[in-house]
Amino acid sequence: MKDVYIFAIESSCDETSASIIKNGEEEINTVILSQIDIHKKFGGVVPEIASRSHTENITIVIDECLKGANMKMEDMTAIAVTYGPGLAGALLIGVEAAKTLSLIYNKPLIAVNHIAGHIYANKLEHNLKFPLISLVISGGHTEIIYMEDDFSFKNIGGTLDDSVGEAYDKVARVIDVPYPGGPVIDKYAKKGKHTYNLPIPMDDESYNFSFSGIKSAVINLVHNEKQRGNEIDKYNLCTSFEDVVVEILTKKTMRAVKEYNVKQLLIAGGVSANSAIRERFSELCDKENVELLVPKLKYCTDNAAMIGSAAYKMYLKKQFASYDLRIMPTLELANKK
Amino acid sequence: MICLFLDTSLDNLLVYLLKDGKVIYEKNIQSLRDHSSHLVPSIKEAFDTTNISLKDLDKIFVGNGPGSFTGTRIGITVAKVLAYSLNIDIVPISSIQKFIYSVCGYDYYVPVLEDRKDMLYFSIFDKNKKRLIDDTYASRDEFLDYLKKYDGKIVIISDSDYENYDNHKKEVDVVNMINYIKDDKSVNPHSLKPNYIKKIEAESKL
Repeated sequence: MKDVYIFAIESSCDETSASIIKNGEEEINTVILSQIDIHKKFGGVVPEIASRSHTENITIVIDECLKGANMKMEDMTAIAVTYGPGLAGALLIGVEAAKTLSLIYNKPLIAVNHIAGHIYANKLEHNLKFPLISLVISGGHTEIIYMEDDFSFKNIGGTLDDSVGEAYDKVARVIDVPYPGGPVIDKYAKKGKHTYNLPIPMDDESYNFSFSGIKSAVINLVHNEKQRGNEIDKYNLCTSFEDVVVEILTKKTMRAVKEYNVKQLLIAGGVSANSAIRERFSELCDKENVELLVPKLKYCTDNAAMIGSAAYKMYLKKQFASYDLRIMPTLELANKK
Repeated sequence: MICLFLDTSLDNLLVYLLKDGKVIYEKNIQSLRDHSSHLVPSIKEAFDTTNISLKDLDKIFVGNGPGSFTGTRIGITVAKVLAYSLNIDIVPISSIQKFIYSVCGYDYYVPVLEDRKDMLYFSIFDKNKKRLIDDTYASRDEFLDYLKKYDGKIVIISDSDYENYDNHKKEVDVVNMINYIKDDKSVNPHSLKPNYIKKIEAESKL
């Protein structure tokens, strides 16, 4: 078969990215323009600013991606783009750019689910063996997905309120850690001890999660300690918080791994960059003799390479989109069980 | 000479294809909040139905606001990618300026776009339709005060009626408009961005 080159675009949140992926696995070139420094001063992603920044950078990112690969758009087989879930105004920029490229160069348009992209980020480095369980953890998502085969997604559980990433960001704000708080909490947690008593959230028989309570528990704890005139030990608080989060994530995910008798566990999404989560899953998977796939750090956060990887499977199935494609800000990967 | 004019800043989606100054494809539909699903299909239709290849396009004119932030970005993004990919000239035009070309015989042309809470965008052009001020965001009172500085026959082009002035409806005469702006300087597609005018809330709170 002829080589398939997919030109992929991702703009669902605060990264403008373009990538060229060969045959679904080989990354030819990826450009990621992160807006993190712009959003930092606001303490979080401001959707209108993200949309403005995508608009200003979209053709620059496309151009750099082609030039870096020493390729032309004519060399591409198809154009892929994230159409949801994500921020509406941000998604629109990538989608309009991809539609226009598809029209100009007469290449099929592939509309990719962002979460499928995070899962298929693992395909850039490893072979997926089915059935598998994927834990998708990011600023917007916390879901356990069961996959019997390629592009067959069954949602067996997920968060009922905040995502893991949101919980990290909220705790970071309570203890005055700059945005984005996740990586800093991860670093602090390494230096502290589990001294604060926090409840394990939603410790039940379901595969669902709830992280809004843990945020309140941390706020109350900080408040009470202050009232007593006690100084909060940030390091110990981070360790205590992270321990509880890792405990519930691993407990439920590993139960799913056993119940569904899978060969692989895939961790995906921005929070999969967290070192404590990686280490704990690695220990548990070794014990259970299950293969653990965690993407390289550069594939954890939002990027177009993962979109190109997922799009390849859709290309083979000829799942193409038309030019009246609408963005789907609340798109789900699969129906909830 | 093949020109494409796009504007998605306001309620109506505008896609016009012109050949040697004549309109050969015209789409002017109300599609507020759904410009995204109509714009690229309309461009495809424009070229398909006229049997012209996108590769033959010489120049793009695009509305760059003021108006809906999201709407403006849709047209700007598509226009940027077209101009960059086809390596052709791109000329931005104010989304309110486009209304002055359906009126004539005045000393001053004043297009107005009403916004929320008695606020509006306006601009002023002279009798040769030369721009006198940048598009400006102001309250209705500030605007009417400002307008007193101008002596002569004034027409306000808007959706409402302003006392003591001649009023005209917002209409688009694309042929006349392109005649006036066809030699306007083109910009680098990479650096083209909407003219939002208004600051966003998060910024003004900093």
